[in-house]
Amino acid sequence: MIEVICNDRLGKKVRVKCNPDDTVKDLKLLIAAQTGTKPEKIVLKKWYTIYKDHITLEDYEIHDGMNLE
Amino acid sequence: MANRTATDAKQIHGTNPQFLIEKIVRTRIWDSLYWKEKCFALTAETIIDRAVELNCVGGQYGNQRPTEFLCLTLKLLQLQPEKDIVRLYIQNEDYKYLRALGAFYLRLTGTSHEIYSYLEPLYADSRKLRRRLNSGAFELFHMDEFIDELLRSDRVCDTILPRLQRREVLEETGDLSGPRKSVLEDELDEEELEELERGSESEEGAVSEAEGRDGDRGIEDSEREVDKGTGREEMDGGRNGHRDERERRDRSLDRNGDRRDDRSRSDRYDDRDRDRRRDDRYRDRRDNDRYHDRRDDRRDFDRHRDGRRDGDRYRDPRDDRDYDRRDRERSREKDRRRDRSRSRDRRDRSRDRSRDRRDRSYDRPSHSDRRSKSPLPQRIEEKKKNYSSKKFDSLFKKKDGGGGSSSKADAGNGGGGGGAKESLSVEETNKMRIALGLKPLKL
Repeated sequence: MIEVICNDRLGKKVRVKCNPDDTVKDLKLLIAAQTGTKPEKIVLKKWYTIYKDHITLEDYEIHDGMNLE
Repeated sequence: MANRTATDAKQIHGTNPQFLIEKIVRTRIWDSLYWKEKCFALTAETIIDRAVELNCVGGQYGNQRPTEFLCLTLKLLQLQPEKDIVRLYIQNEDYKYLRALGAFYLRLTGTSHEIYSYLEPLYADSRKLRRRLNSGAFELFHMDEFIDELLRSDRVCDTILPRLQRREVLEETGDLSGPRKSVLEDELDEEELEELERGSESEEGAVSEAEGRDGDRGIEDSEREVDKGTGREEMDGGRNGHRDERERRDRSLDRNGDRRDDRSRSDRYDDRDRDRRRDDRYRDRRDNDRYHDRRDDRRDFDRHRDGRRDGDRYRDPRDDRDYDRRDRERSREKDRRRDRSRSRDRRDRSRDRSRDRRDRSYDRPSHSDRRSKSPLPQRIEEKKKNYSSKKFDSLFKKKDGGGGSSSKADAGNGGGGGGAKESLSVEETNKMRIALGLKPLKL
């Protein structure tokens, strides 16, 4: 279980617990449940790398405590 | 050069036709490869070749890439072909994406009358279309759904659609002849008739069973209504009854609530008056008053303390407002001054002190209320206070200051470490995951 921190740079900052083998889509669902935005509207990025929905967090090497936007 | 609208193009909806697509999307289209390669120097005819090669409709997808459909739409807006040509696009049966393109263009540029007359026949077309979603995936839907979206929703293919007048308005002015006749109408009529026949047969059997049950329930309902006893007639049973019941309850609650406020106010004034009356008028008859007052005081005080008693309901607050509020305040000040003075008999002092305590206990809240309510007598009040105003203000200031600073701290932390607030526990997360259809956390 890892905990990922998602920041929207406008004041919303959530810590989401997830499995490393969750896909980015699942992570977006979890974030949406916590923040209230629609999962389709969430775009996760790190600098200019946009995370695609069908790839797992493990494959993206997203570890515990990482910050995403 | 290639991005300028045709020089002989007319304004659409009061603006350059290309501006019907928003600036950001437009810029993306102009920068896209498809536009630069394929959409160069197209005419109304050659665009048909491009349109025939289309395989999906859509707005932006992936990393906000515009679809070819959207690029061709912008090209059409740039060229501004004539109405006849657009009509031909729409009415052609062979190429559904060309038809969709024409329909989209017409929705963006046409008048309401044209839109309704040309697009509604397309409801009959039930061919499948492929749509490219924002995520990049494809979705199957039908032509008539697409037309329906064009006619009803605000945004299609990431473009804001211009305002469309409602059908009723056009019917009233006579532009359109009557409501829309659906192609399925005949079929629907037949179906309805069949259903009715079938339904009535089954209903007859069911009604007789239900009647017995309903009858009993009906009697119970009516009894219940009567018991409520506000004398209102119940026209329907059941549903309306419940609604009325709720209304009645709400209304009675409101009434009680208001009455509570009135009572407190009237109590306050009443007690003040009673104080004054007691002190001014009955100063001579001390002994009687003492007994009498103590009893009254205690009664009043208890009444306040125990909340609102029914006895207060019928007291008329108007009687208490004999005096001007200012006079009342001033005289109360006099009372208080007198009360607080030490140079009295022990008898009086004991009585006053007991009254002090009682006055103070129920003066304070009303006093603070009146501070906000009445600006005029404030000058008088500020001089005579039995508690330190500094302490009082500081109490409030600290609360506000504390509240303000704490909120600022929260805002500051929210950017930094305030995420601690937002983190769910493992159980909660697991609950959420199960609700979303995900597997629970692997710890």
